[in-house]
Amino acid sequence: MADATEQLTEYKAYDRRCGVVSSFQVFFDKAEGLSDTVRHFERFPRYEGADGNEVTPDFTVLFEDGTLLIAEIANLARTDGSLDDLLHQLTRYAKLIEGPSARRPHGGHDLSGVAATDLLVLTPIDTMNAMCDRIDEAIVNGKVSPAVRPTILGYSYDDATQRFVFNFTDRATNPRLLAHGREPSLDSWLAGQADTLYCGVKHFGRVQAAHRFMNDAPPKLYMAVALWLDVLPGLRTDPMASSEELLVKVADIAERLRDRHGYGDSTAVGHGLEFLREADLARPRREDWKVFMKQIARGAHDEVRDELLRRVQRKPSGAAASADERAAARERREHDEETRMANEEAQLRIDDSAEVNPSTDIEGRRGGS
Amino acid sequence: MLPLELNAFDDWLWNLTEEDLRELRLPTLQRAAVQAGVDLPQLTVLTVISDAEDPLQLFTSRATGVQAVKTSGHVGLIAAHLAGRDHVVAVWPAGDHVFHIASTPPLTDDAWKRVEEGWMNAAAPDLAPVILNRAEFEAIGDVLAEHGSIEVARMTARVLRDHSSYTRGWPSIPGQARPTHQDALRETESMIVRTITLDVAGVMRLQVRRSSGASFYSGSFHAFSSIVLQRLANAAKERRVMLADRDRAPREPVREVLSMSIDTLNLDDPTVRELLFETVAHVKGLQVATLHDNPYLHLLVTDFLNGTNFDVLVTDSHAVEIIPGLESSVGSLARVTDALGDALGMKDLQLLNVEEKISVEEFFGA
Repeated sequence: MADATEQLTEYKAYDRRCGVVSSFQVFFDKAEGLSDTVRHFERFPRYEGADGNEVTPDFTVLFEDGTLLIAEIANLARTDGSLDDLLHQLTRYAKLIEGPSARRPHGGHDLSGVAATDLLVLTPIDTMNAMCDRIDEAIVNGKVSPAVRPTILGYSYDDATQRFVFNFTDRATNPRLLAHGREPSLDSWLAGQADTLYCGVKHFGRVQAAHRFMNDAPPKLYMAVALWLDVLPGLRTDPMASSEELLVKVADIAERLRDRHGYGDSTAVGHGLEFLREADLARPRREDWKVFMKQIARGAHDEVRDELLRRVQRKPSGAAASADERAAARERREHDEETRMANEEAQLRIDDSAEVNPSTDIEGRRGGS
Repeated sequence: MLPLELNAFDDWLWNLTEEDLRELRLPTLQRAAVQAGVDLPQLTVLTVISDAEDPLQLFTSRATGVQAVKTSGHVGLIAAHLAGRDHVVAVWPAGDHVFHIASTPPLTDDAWKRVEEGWMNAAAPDLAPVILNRAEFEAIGDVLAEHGSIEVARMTARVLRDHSSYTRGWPSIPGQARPTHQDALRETESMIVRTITLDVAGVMRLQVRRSSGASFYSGSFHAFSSIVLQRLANAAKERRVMLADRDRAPREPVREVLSMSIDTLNLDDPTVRELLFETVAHVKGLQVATLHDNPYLHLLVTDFLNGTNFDVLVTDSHAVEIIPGLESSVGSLARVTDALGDALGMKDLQLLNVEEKISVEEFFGA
């Protein structure tokens, strides 16, 4: 288990990437003029490429002129491996002859043929120059010869004005984005504004609230928070009870997430439930999960994200805790255990009286943690 | 049930014949009592909105101390044992899912606290009070001023900067005028006024509270009912319309947000962030997670009492946005807007349509 700082860093990095996608969703879906040139912005593209393998870029934009923009958010590590992976990905994207063209009612998207494909790479501003140099070098050296050369934009977040800043540079022959004659276009916006665009939190925050996720698998902690506060409470049958046990299936939750927010991946849901297990709030069973729903964070300094982290980190393998923290954790464990026992006993009584399948009964008797 | 030991007014109210109870109306409550030879003592009132059921049923099934219930088409009466004594708590429907809850114990009496805190918590989230915005609060004084010269006897407020409390009383001295409500309110810049006690010359003495309540002390209850309670009911009805049916459609863009304007909120100040966080986390049943907290604040909030959720977003120093979730409820939204409004000094709460296209200027330059 990664330490708490690492988990929080992952959580925040994911949130940041969600913010980048949301900003472009604002540009293409909500901006006067530019949004009129767009047929469909897809936040969760997932489809089969020409080579028969699945592609999942970070977002796509199908324009009214039939051309497709494919975007990837990428960090560049110092190793060649990370560049090779990115170049491989971009080479596959460049060959795509179809793109997402409309949303389907319960998640997913339709596809239609595209007239041209353009590539956009979004990278943190501090690695933008290196990204330009290294991609150029790879092309000049003949290491790759993509059908379309990607355009690189740098992003950063300005704390003082609470907005994302996007920058273009022509360094190392980084090409401008093709507009295919569209006006306005992202490129005409950039060209007229010293190659700098902004998106304030007032705009991207609302998009974020509606979608919660981006197309990459979220970190476990992020998924656990989303499950605990967004998905699982709605499955309770007796909300007035102070605690309740839910039996849930991974596939059902993934479907519910897809239905609600457009993103729902069984593996990611499994990871989120696994995190809840480590926090002593869920237990896997043969075919489903038992989740122990209750209020876990109460009082002045408690919030769910930190409480979930604390619960996972307080395990013996976690960092040394102060005597107070250990005592508090012990107390909480005991309290949780009591609640669980009470619930299980109540459940057993119900199960016994209903004469349910004995295997369920045995599962129920096994008890916690 | 033991025999009830009620004060004279409650005794009269509780023992009205079925026919008299049927005839009883809130504005003429005082006249009916006086005709029966009973004085109307002071009355404490809380105005609430209901998400579904009649508060009478909610209290009967969830609140403690309830002894017996009577009802006519126009009022529900609950005989209750509260803080060691028996009282009658009346629930007066004011239309459109709005109700006045009224009883004779003073605001500071433990019996009333049981109702306003304990009972309301038990009935949450189906029942919620609604905090008045600044304009609604001030307007009550303006209307009262039309009925007689108005003087402030006492005012309580909280200073937003350091959360200190402010109380000021103006004794009645013959020949010396006390401030009007407008004069008194002028002194409360960067404070949230919570209560104001007014004398309306020759008409009545009363207290109005920001937290959707009022107390009648003496004078004309008819005027109190038709001016003060009517205003509270109207404010609650408007709030209910604003908060009802706000469920977002899945995977659709956010079309409307609740925007609370406030004096100023310095998110760089950790104590302010803490306050905001605690305010939401302290509301019964609400669970909060931080999605983002530096420097803007984005909280995901779930009401465990009904499974609904919403996002709270602070994007600038003068506004807090509440974005209703895919399942939303009047009670949950009312409770969170109340708590935030009280802690942050809500000036106004509006439902903003955010469907329109955004000007490109927003994305260009400084």
